[in-house]
Amino acid sequence: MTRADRLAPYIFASAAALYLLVFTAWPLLDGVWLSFTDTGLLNPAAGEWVGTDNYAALFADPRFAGTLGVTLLYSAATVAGALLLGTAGAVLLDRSFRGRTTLRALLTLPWAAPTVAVALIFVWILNHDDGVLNGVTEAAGLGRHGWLTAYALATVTAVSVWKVFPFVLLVVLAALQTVPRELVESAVVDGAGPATVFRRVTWPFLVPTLRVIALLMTIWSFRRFEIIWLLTQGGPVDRTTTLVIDVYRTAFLESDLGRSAATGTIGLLLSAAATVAYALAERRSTAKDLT
Amino acid sequence: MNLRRYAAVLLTVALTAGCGGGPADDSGSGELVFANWQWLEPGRGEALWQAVNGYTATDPAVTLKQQAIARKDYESTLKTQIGARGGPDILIVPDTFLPELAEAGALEPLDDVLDDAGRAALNATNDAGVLDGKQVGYAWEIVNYALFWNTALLDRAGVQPPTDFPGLVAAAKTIKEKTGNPGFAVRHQINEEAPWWIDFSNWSYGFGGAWSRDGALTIDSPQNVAAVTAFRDMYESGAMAVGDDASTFRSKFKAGTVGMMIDNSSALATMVAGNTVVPSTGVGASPLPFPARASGQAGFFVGINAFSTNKTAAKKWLRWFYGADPQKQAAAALGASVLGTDTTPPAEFVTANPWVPTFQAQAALSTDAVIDGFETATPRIRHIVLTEVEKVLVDGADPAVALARAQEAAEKLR
Repeated sequence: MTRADRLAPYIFASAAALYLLVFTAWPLLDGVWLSFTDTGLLNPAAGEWVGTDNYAALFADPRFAGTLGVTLLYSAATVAGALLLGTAGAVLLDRSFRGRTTLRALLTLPWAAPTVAVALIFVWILNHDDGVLNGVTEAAGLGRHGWLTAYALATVTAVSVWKVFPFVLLVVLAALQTVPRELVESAVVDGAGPATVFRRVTWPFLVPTLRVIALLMTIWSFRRFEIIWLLTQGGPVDRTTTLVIDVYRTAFLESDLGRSAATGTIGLLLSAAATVAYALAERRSTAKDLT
Repeated sequence: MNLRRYAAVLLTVALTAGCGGGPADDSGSGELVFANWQWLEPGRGEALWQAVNGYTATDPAVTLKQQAIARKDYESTLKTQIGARGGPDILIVPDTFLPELAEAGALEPLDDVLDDAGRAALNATNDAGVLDGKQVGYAWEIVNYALFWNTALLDRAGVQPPTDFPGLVAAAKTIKEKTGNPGFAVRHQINEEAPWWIDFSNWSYGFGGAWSRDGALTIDSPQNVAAVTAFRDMYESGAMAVGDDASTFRSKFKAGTVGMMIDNSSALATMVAGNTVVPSTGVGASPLPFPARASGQAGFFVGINAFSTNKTAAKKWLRWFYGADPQKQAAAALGASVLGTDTTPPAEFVTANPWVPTFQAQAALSTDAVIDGFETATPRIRHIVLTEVEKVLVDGADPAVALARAQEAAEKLR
C-alpha cells in the first residue's frame, strides 16, 4: 500500500469534516461563547465577557420559566399527537382496502406542503370573523372562538401535529412491512384477536422505530419555528413562546445576542438531554433483549 | 492520487474565497442601495421610486437600486445587515428605530450635508432626527392618525360618524348588526408589535396620557388605564375585527367590508388609490373620538448607513432630494403626509381626497411613540406594555393592575 493509498480515506473524509467544522461545530461553539458575552446585534464586535450573567438573568426572569414550560408542553403534545396519529394511520393503511394508494398519497400531503403556505392557510382558516372553522362552529351552534387567542397553544400544537404526523405514518408503515407475515398468521391460527396480534406480535417490531422517531420529533419540536412564528409570533401573552421564538425575539427585536445565545444554549442542552434519554432507553432495551 | 494537485486546488479555493468583497472606493458614483418597505406598496411605491430616482437624471454616474423589505420584518432585517457591517447605503428609519441605530453608530452624521438653501427649507419635524446633538436623519414623512370610515357602509347601517368613545362603540355595534361586517378595526396583536405600539399610542395620547413625563415613566397613569379600559371595551364589543392583522383588515376595508378604522394617512392613501369599491371620495374622516384631541404619529427619517462604502454619493443624493423639485414630487407621492420641508401635496390631490385636511390638521397635536428619556429602551418597554395589554384583552386582566405590573417591570430595565 502506497503512502497516497493510506492517506486517501482521510483526504476524502476531510472535505466532509471541514464542512462540519465550518458549518456546524464552529457556529455551535461560537453560539455558546456568545452566551457568556453582552454582544448586541447592531455592534457584535463590541461584545464583552460577562460570565454567567445572561444565564442568571434568564433564570431570574419569570417569563423564562413560562417559555421553558411552553416548550416542554408544546413538544410533548406534538410528539405524542404525531406518534399516536401517525401510528394509527399506518396501522390503518397497512391493511388492504380499495383506495388505499390514494389515501396514502392524501395523508402524506401535509408533510409535503411548504410550511409557510400551510401556516398562512391556517391563519385564514382560523380567522375569527371570516375563518372557515368559525363558520362551521357557528353553523353547528357552537359559536365563534378565538382559535389563535384563547386556544393559541392548543391550536398551534394541532396544526403542528397535522403537519408532521405523515412523517411518523410513513416510517411506521415501512416498519410494519418488516413484521414477518408468518408470525402474524400463526398467532391468528392460535386464536389471537387483532388487538392481541398487534400488542404481542406487531408492537415489539415497532418499538425501536418509534423510539427513534420520538427522539427526532422531540428535537424537531424543540427547534420548530416557522409554524409558531407565522401563526402567533409567540403570542398572545407569550402563551406560544417557545425557546426558539424567544431566541429570535431576543436577538432580532431586542438586539441582545448574548442573552439570545444563552436561551439557545439551554435549548441545545434540552436536545442533548433528549438524546441521552434515548441512548439510555436503547441500552436498557438491548440489555433486556440479551437476558 | 496526486496529493500536490489536491492541495493546490484547496489553496486556490481558499485564496479565491478570501479575495472577494473588498471595499469599493467612495468616489461619489456607482450604485446606491435604498431600503424602504414602501417600495412594496402598489401604486405609491412606484410614484415614490420615481421621486427618488429622478436624481439619476442629474447625475448619470449614480444608479439607484431598491431594497424592498416587508414592514413587519424591516427593523430585524436591517439590524442583521448593519450588524454584519453591510446593509443599504440609504435607508428609511422609523422614529422608534432611530435611537437604537444612532446609539450603535450605524447612522452617518448629516449636519454638513445640506447647503444653506436646503437647511433653510427644513421644518421642525427634522428636530426629531437630532440625537446627541447630531442630525442623523432628515424627515422623510410624518404620518398622522385619524378616525375614518366607509361612508356607504355607515349609510347602509344608518349610523352617524361618532364623535366620542361611547359613540364609537355604539356605531361599531350597529354596523356589525345591520351589515354583518366588522364595525371597527385597529391593530391589537403582539405579532405586529412595532407598528401596534405606534397605533396604540393614539389611545394613550387620546385619553390624555403619555408614556413618560419629566424623565419618569408614567405607564400606569390613570389616563393610560382609561385608554386600555376603552381599548378592551372595544375589543370585547363583538364589533371589532378581532384576530385580523393590519394587512387583513386593510384589505377588508379596501373591499368595503369594514366600517371604521383608526389608522394613518399613509395606509388610507394606499387603500383608496385606484379603488373603485371604496373610492377616496367615499371615505370620511375626523379627529380621534377620544377625550383629548392629541394623537400619535409615525415619523420616518432618511438616514445614511455609516458602514456604506458609498457615502459620498449617498450624501449627494440627499442634498438633491431636499431641493424644491424633488420635494414636490415626493409630496405628490406621499399624499397626506407631512414632509421634512413645508412642501404640500398638489391641490388636485387634496380635492380628490377630501379626508386629507383632517389628517394634516392633526399634525399640530400629534406626538411620536418614542418614550422621552427612554429612547433606546423603547423597544423593550414596548414589549412589556403590549404584553400586559394583551393580558387585559385575552385573559381579562384588570387594566390598572396590568399597567402597574408593566410600570414595575419597565422601571427595572434602567
